Amino acid sequence: MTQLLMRAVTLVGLPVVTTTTGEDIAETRDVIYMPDEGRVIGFTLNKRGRLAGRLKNILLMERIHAVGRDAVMVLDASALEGTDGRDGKDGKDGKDSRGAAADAKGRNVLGNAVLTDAGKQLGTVRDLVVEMGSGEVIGYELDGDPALQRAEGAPLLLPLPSTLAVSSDVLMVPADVEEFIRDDLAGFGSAVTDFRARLGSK
Amino acid sequence: MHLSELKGRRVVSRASAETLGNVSDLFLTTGPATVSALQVGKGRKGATVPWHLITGIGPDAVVVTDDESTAGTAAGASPLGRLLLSELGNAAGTVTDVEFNESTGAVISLATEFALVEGDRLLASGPYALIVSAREGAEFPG
Repeated sequence: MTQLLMRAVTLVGLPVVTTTTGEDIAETRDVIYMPDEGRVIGFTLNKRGRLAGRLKNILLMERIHAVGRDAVMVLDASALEGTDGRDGKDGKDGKDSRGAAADAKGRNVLGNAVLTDAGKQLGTVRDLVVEMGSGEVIGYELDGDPALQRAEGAPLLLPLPSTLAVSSDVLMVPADVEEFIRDDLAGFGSAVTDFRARLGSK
Repeated sequence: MHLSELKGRRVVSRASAETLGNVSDLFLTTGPATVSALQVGKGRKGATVPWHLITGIGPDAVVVTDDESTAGTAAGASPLGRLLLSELGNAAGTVTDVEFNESTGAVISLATEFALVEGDRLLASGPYALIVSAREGAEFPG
């Protein structure tokens, strides 16, 4: 299976469409990222329509059928059931997801500084690079030091170790990461693999 | 037969020989993908003719058994102008034409601005999009 890497920003505002009925039942509002686990666990949602408000339900990653360029696909509307934190029938699930949603609010890593364990600040987090099969966040896109860029204005894609220390304002990464910085999502997956292999072999 | 060829063709009742109107659209059902009805005319004067009432689709007219066709618009939406979306969440533009077998109603293919998709890939025909199955290789061949 090929690895599908996407920037989190491209996942926001996508319609959530059912494969069984062809209906658009919601729209992604934001990703729910758990930095401690290093993965996106799902999406918060808006109702469809330009002026429609927020939906209480969230969409958990494991209930997603597929994420494409143009839509997030689910089998049917039951994918959102039991995730509004009020549904008594599915209390456990509801409670879990409510906890996750609440947690997500206090866990925004965008704008946080990325610091190497050698004490160098590489930049601040602009976006997340998500492996869509697992929801794993395998890298960050940084706003950073132009000296790290391969060309002027090129993106800075930073591979992440499988675990990393996160505080409210700083993300700590190994100093080795610098040489694995890439400017393109194509090939970024292998940069992450190589970087993690390096960490593992130490 | 393509919807684009059929559009505008006269629809005549076999029982009364009255002209009911002209074909303006069609409707699809899935499992397997089939034309379920033809839309004749538009708006309040429009009628929906279920596929099983059609006795013949000829070069000059579509003949239906009687004119007891349902007035108004069929449940379900026309495929024309609707988004074609794979089950993987990638779009291939909006539907511009439908090719179907004129004796069975089976959908042969769906055309968009960018792609031609086999009718047997159609999973759902919904209000937001037509959903087609994913497949190996090119998702949407041109």
